[in-house]
Amino acid sequence: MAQSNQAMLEIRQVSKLFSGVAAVKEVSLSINKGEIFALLGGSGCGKTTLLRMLAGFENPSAGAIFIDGEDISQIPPHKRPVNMMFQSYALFPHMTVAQNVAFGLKQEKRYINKEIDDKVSELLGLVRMQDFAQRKPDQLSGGQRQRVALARSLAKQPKVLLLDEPMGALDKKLRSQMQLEVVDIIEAVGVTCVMVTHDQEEAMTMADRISVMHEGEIMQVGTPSEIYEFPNSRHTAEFIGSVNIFDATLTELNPDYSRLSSTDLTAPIQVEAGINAPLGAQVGVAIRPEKIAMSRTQPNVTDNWLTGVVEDIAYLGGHSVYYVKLASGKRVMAMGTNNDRHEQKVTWQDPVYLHWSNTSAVVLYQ
Amino acid sequence: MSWGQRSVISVPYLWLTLFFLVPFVIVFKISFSEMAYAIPPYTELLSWADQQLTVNLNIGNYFYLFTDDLYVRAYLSSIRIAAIATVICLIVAYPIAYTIARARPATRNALLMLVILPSWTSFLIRIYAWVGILKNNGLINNLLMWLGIIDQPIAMLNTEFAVYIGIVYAYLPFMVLPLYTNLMKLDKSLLEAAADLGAAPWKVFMTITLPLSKAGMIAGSMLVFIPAVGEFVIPDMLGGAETLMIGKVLWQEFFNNRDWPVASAVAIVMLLLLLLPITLFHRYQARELES
Repeated sequence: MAQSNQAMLEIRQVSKLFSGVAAVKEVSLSINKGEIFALLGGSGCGKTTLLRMLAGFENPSAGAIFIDGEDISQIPPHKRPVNMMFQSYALFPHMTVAQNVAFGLKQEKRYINKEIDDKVSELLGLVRMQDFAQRKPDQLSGGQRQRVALARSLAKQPKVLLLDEPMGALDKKLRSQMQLEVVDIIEAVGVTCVMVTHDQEEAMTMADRISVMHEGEIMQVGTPSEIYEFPNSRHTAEFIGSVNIFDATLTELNPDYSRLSSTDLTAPIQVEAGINAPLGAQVGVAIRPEKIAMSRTQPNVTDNWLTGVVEDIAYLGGHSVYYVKLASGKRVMAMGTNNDRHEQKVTWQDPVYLHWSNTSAVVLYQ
Repeated sequence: MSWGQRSVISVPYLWLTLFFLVPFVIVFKISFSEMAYAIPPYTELLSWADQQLTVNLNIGNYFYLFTDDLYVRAYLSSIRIAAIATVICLIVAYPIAYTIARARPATRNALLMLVILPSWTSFLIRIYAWVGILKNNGLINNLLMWLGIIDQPIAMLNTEFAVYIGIVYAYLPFMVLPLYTNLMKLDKSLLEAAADLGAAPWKVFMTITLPLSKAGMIAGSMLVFIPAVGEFVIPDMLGGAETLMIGKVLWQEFFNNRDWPVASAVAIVMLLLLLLPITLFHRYQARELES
């Protein structure tokens, strides 16, 4: 990935209030040149407001935004070195594909018509839409519209490209194809990109780094695998993928391992390394379903196991998710891959044992 | 189509047949008769005598319209006045509609109400009120003279200027409402996209808002232009003797000259003249609906 550690976009302590209510609270982020950065969160988490502040459609109530070292907080949208691909694409319905792509270039006096034509056909080539230059947007399919919208937002070679729910208007199958295609184009151009999405799969597929937002605040920033494997809060752990979270009390603290007990479990939970909390602290312990192994016989371990009854099975083809009900009533998810077609599978109401290694569990302090 | 659907659709059709098509056919018929001193004051098209059915089609009324240049001048002047008034209406109504469409929902309803409110008073009374405002010792002249800006009243009443004031005033809501509806439908993200791509606010307006409101402008213009061409009350009350409009000519033919056949021919020709813009409008609308 073509990125250096030079910051292209700096968001410093930015807040946005809408009639007294904070939609974005003191957000600070630094986004590197050439990086694809995703703002991920549910609806109303402030991600779209933050993106609109980058585009200039909203002004920050406090804080500042720097692009390439220049404070752009007070610059109107039409003078910012930033272009956006809108969720609905916002293609101009009365213009052809070529006119749409040329629109941004025509706003600058420095181009002559020939240059604009050349640039437009180059951009349409980049998104493989040369043959549709004279079509109107309503004569295009969803995927084609998205390509045109992307070409239009890249036409002025922005310093930062903004994508608002880039796959929001596409169906599932087209979505996964376009995700990779859009990333290929963005990386070929080398533009720094900030995208907003509520779809964790989309963020993980497309972005180099993800920032998880919740109620106007940034919960965690990291690469997709950091966010998934090392969530720092219950919210992040639950938002990204499926997870089992146990309420636990810290009972044993050693430099290279620690033990916790949970009222849901008979066996203690053991985690590698020490925990940054005093004995007796109440914490959460998160274990991803695919890190849990299932067996019919009791595993030969003292820690990190539980037993229960299979209550539900979600057969998903490649793998199945088993919902195991514990004596305490809590349900635990465990994943099993279906790699043997003739395997004697675990079925409903079967008593099973679940266990995991001491590297699997993540301690959540908040 | 079910019986219920048929009966629902038949009501407006029946209405239009009774009150539009039948009178139109009668007028069309009269336009081919001759004037007579009788009741009604025209000859019958069909006569029956000595076992002979005679059809008397008099197309002289139509030729007559082109021998006296009064009629041609009246048509041209009506179209010119209606066209200029429509353009003024468009220029005045656009900012009004734009502001209403951009206003907050609560304000929007109040502003819309203000546009419609004047039509709750009788049309005739409102036009008559303009006589009081525009006449030589009327509101405007008295005010200007009292302020010492002028020492002779400006002649406004009984001029074409007064007719423009009247038409623009009376037909403004018919321009504002379709424009407003059109501008409300405009997707705000298109405006943001244009700004995002570097277009300054006035450029956004010229390249996005204005072209996309074309349908509203055409609809509003038709709603103003078509009735304005045949307008009688406004030129009669505000335009005085020197303003020549076809509505007034029609009135004079019917009521002063009692020449129903010529008056009918005048009405038919006016309809034919208006048919052109109406057809163009419908064709445009059909195309808009398709896309």
